[in-house]
Amino acid sequence: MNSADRPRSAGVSRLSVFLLELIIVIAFFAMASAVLLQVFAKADQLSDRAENLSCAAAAATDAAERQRTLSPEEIETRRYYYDENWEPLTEGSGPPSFYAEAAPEFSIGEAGTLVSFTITVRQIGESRNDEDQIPLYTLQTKKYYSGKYPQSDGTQEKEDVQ
Amino acid sequence: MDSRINNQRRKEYRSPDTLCILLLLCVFAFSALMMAVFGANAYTRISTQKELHFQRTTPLFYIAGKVRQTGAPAAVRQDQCGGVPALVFTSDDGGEPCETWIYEYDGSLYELYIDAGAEFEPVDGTPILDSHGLSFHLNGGRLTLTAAGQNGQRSEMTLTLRGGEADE
Repeated sequence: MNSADRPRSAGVSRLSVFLLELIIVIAFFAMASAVLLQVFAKADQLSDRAENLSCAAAAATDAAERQRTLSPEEIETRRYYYDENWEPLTEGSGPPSFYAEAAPEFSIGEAGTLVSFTITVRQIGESRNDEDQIPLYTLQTKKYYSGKYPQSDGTQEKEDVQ
Repeated sequence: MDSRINNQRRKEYRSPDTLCILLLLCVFAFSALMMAVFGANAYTRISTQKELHFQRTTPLFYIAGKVRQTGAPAAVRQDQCGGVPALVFTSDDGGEPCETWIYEYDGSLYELYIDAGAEFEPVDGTPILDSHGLSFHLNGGRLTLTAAGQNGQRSEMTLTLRGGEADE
């Protein structure tokens, strides 16, 4: 070996090893970063879902309490609308992002009528189609009325703004 | 002479490698910084969201608990203490009529348990938790509560007072 080549090849070799080591470290870091970014995105998504679920449960309870104050003649399918921050919507105050629907089912017995309400809270998708609505929470509640109330037009929907 | 030529050659070989290493180190440092920023943003967003949700809902659930504990329609009324709107629950404590006053004062939800008819100032109550906008509306057997978070977003809760008017 030429004595002049020795230091040069030793220097190049050291640099190459260091470069290779750095590339491996960065590759490992890139993989870890990809995983962590997914974890962050998932945490954000889960946090949104958890808040929506909590608010949906509160909206369903709210709708159930409202049904309780209705007289039997007033009972029909009702919807209560909320904006993207779960604030109750007043008429014409903006497009809804969520709604709670209380659907009654009448069951007439000998002594009275048992009304079962199925309250479903749904998220309205961006396309605003019925197929694009995501159910978030469902609650069932029942109330007994002493009179007999036929299931006349219980399927007729009425939009109830607060 | 030989030594000078060798040094020059070594520099020529080193400079692209050194530049490459420095560039990679910069990429590494920038990526690490971005990861830290993304992580911090995700954490901040989630904790802020939780805090705001807590501020909006906790006063409502606290009052809902009180209503369900006491809430016959005759035992609940709206009143004022020192110009502050309050919700008053009347109860009987060993034959003595007592009242629980709940109101928002000085950025907090206050509660005061006192003999019925006794005079007091809003500051006499006990602060329970932070409150950033609380209102109540009592209409027959239906009590509507509204609470706001620090960012002004509102939550609403409707409660039916037990033994209310809707029973047929």
